[in-house]
Amino acid sequence: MNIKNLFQLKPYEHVEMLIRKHPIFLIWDVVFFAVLAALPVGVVALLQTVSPTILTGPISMPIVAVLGSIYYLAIWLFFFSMVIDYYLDIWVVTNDRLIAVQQQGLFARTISEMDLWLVQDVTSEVKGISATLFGYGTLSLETAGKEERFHFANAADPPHVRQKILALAEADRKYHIGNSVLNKVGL
Amino acid sequence: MPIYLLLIPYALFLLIFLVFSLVDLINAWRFRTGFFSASFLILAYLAGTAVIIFVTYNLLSPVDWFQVIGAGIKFTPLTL
Repeated sequence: MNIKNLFQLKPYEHVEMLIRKHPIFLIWDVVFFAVLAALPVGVVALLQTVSPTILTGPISMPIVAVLGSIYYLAIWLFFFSMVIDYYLDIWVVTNDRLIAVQQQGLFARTISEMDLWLVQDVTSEVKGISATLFGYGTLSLETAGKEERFHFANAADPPHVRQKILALAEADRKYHIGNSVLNKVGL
Repeated sequence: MPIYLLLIPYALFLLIFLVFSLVDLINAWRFRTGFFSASFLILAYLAGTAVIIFVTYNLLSPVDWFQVIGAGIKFTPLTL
């Protein structure tokens, strides 16, 4: 099973693009992990100045090793969970609809979808120094019929994505209107 | 108190680690968007975990786990 099995593609439907958060957020996760991984090195250096035998003592060495192992396994798991969260938070845009999958921690995810031909407005917002420098921002979609809005925070290249979604929505609208006209005339 | 008692909380931690890792790995595989990206993530995680476990094993394997804390050992910074 993969993400495409979360929804059934219609016969005429194909995936146009996948939207994720900007990679800079993944890089921040890596930097954060690197800092956490480097912390014990400083702690060990400090301990060695206080008590030089702490890493070789028959009792203290196993204690330090077990604590170190727990620490590194914990931050490794924490880092992997952050990467998975980044990897699984995604908007799948097809030529017919938009499917938003949001991973919320380990045990929860939200999946919602919207027909592209109902999209009335797409807003991209790039706000702040970092967002302007790296080119990320928030995408918001509004539909014609409902009050519902779709938001994607920290999406990569939102102005380009906005244009592409609008173009796809326009093409899908034409397709649906064309089909309804053909249905009305009985073809 | 024998120091092998230290291994009990460590084993409990490893159990919790295993459960959470499995959930993450299953999520990564079930909801993957690409075969290679998901495979790379999973293999990288397993490799990192293997390295940590291997280093821990190498450090802990020569330890005499039946040593008793407090038996003839003075807890000064130099002997601890």
